[in-house]
Amino acid sequence: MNCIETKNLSHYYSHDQAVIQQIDLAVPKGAIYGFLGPNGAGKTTTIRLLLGLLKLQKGTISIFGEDVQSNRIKILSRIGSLIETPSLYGHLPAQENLAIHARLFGIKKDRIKEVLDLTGLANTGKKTAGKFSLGMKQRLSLAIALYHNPELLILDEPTNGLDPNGIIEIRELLMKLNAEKKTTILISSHILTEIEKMVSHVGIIHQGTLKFQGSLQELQSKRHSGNTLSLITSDSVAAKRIAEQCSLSATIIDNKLQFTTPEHATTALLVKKLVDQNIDVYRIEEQHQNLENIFMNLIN
Amino acid sequence: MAYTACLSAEWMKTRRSFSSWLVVIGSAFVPFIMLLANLFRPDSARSLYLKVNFWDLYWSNAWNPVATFLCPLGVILSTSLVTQLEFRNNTWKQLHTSPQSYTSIFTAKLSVLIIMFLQFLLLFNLFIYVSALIPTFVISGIKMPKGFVPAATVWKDNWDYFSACMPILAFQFLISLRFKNFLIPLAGGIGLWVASLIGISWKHNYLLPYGHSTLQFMSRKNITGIDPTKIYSSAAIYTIVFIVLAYLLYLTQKEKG
Repeated sequence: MNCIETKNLSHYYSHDQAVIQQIDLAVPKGAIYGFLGPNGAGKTTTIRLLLGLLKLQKGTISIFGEDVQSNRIKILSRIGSLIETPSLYGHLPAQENLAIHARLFGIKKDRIKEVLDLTGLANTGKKTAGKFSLGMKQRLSLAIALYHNPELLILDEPTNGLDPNGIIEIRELLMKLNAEKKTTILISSHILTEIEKMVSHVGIIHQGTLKFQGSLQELQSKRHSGNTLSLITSDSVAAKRIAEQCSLSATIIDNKLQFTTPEHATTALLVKKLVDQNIDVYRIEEQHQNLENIFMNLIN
Repeated sequence: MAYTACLSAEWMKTRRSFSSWLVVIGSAFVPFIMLLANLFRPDSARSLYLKVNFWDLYWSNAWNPVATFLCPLGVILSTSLVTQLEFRNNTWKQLHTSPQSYTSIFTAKLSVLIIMFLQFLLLFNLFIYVSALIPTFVISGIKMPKGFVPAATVWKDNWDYFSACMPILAFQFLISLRFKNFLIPLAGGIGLWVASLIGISWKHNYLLPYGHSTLQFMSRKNITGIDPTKIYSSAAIYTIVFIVLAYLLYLTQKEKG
């Protein structure tokens, strides 16, 4: 069952300028869904539509199996969100920011210490949020999003402004929440490597359209099919001819013979033939296509 | 329930804010100046405290700058400050993703502004009394005049100035909800207030929503050409129209954070 589902979701800022077009998002319940795309791809617009911050123009949105338009308040009570830049009352300390949130969600203030501990802000005391560093503000925003134990977390670039340690801590915290409380998490980012270690599903958006959606395994299978083998030999031109006899489409780059990684048997055959033709093989190495390359290929 | 949760949250936001200090400082300002004047001029204070109509004079002197100047400007400034809190802190998106109806959010915000205005009036009344009391302990030969301003006058004056400033509060609320830039409601409000003062001698002066408070004070000085009944009705109509308009504009906003 999908926790978030959109159908033909489109949004226009002007009559003929679509920001997103026919987005069919499907975020499975219990998943950590990485919503990826370069800056300006339409991630934030999609998220703002999901949360009702933008008026729905075209398409449908359903969260927890219910229509967002007609069940807005009920749905929002089960969602925690963090959208782009921190959203805090700068003249108030962390505890009071959380107390306001607790009041708006109609819940007790007894979790303030717990979420401040969880996000590493337990010692901020009476320091007002306006005096926090960007990383601290981001942590407090996350504490607010987590406060009411939401079933769904929607986080738009939550690691903005965090140092590498902070990024790892937040990642571990989100993975823990997902594992222990089965919280569904939609997390957007423009950096794949930043979130690939935690996501179970991926959606890649570019220029307002969804280029890929599926499990991380599906995306990774694209990686394996895109790996290349590179050979350094004593005669690249002759080696290329022999590779073509083995049905390999090879190219010579920087005196290296390169082709898509074939089956093991084909590689063995090629090496045997090269040796038989007195061509020395100095080095064979496989170059793995990383997810970032796949991501770049998808958006270019 | 939703409204009280919203109201409570809105009230918490005003804590430690400049606008909450503005209410206290603004309400104490004129009584404090009057106190200083009496302390530094003990002779004139002695003759003032001996007058039979001491409270009438003291009350009227206190209200003079407040009704014509401090109340309208204070409402312009504090309404803009409180309403713009969400823009300034980038918190509209957080507020609008809380499980609260837009109506609850709107009415809670408006209620907080009205409560702060009432708080200002209450403190101002209190400070008037305290500022009259202090010289009796400091200046020799001065005794506290008996009684206070009649309760009916206190209620009527407070209500009149409150209702006269409500159109300002409502319009400032409307434009502060619409514009992200703090200067627009502030400059707009001050501009409209100055325009109202310029037009105060106009025969239809009661139609100027930012001039009602000044007109109320002038009506107490028996200046001709001022009809308090028209001020009441004009203020009420403006207040209702501005609030309804603000609500509709708020509800139909395409972007809510």
